[in-house]
Amino acid sequence: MAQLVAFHYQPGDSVLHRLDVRIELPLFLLMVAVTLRCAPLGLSFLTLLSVVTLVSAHLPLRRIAREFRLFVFLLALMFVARAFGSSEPAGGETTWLSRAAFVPAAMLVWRLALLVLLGTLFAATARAAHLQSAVAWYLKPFHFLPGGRIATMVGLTISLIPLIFDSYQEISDAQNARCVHGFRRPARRLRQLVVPLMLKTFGRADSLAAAMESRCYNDARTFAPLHVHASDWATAIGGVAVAAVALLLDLLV
Amino acid sequence: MSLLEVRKLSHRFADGTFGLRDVSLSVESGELIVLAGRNGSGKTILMKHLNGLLTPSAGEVMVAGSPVSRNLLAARQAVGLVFQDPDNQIVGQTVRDDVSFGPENLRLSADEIERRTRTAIEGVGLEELVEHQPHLLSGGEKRRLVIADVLAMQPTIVILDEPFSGLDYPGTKRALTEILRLHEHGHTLIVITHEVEKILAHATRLIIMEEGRIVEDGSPESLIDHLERYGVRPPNLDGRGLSGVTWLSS
Repeated sequence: MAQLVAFHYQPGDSVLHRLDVRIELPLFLLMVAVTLRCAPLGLSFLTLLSVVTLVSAHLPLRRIAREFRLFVFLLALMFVARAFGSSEPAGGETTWLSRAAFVPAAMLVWRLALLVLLGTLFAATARAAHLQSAVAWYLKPFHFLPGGRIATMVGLTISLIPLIFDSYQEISDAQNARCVHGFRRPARRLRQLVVPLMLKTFGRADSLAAAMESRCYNDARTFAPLHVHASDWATAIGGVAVAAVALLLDLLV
Repeated sequence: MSLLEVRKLSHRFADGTFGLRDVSLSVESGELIVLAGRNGSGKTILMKHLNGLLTPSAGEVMVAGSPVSRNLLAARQAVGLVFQDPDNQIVGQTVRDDVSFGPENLRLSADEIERRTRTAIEGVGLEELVEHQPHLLSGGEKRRLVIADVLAMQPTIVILDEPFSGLDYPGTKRALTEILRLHEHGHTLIVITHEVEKILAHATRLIIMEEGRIVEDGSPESLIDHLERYGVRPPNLDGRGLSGVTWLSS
């Protein structure tokens, strides 16, 4: 599971890889906000551009698609539940795939898929070390917040996700080897999996804290240096323009 | 003045049991010490006191003549710890980020962090893997990475806890070569292990612990016959001298 590529940094030399994270982070948040706000035309525009960016970033698309199979299945389930289980606003009766139920369900699933796509793009192109530096930079004016600690926590969370997946897989295999999959009650199966996973994760957190302390961890660290170039500003302006066009397209319809 | 001095160190747990009892020892520059003992004998607890990760119930640890408790940051820089499980000490998303974590904590300049990171990575032969995710490295590569993590802080003493644990034969030989190379480059090393046959031929000193105490301390040759009684499997000399049982001769 540690081999997962989705939501992991993938070294590269694309525009997004080179982009200063202090610009990439607000651009990402802007795109998330626009995705939540857009209607179909704007959403189509954003989706198209996101796919083009994903391809131009030279990310391992096939592997990412394979890893998102379960997510696609969940989206499909969500769509079916929303589209087939909605009520007509006036009568309150359950309908079977009316236009009134279909469109909101499709929009919800579309938005979620695009958010995950945007998240994948951001995680795959922004180094955790640079993200830490950016978070520390943004929090610097807020003296009442422990910016260095928050930045380190953000970086650690991103870096350690694969280890938690690894532990999950190990425990799951060990449980299956002892026929846990034969349990009829899903709650019991879940408990058998979650309790050891939590114990292992907390134990690992303890060990990690000791290892960090032994390497002189403190909040006032020197974070990785960041540099804004002219091309970064051009990308920022381009990103804001894309967001504006996406919103304007919806106004035109 | 000794590089490291432990004076009557005791550690008592909350339940009243002792992890360490009256431990005293001094470490001189250039030594390669093997610290052996059965599981639960107190080896790792002692290690954690040596750079201030644990606070003693009694006694003190001095690093270069200065008490650890007085300047924790300096002690932790001077005494580098390599823990048993590499996965529990990797904090970076790439090999480069992981190695630079220590120098970043020392508040060095960006240039110095870069220089130390590069030197440490080259020192353990991981320069081809700088942009790799640490969690995808092999067991042996992870072990070299955590050694680089410590080397980037330029410690005077490096303590390795069970450095051969979980490694296959080539991995063990590579780890042993790495340890000996560090020693040749002037590092003072303490290797904590119960697999003494893998390193004892190269050690300058053997310390054996039992129930939180140091029960034997001397040259490997003089103590080799005592290992069995403390639950540590002695190397099979098979008529050879101790220097003949190195894992590197093949």
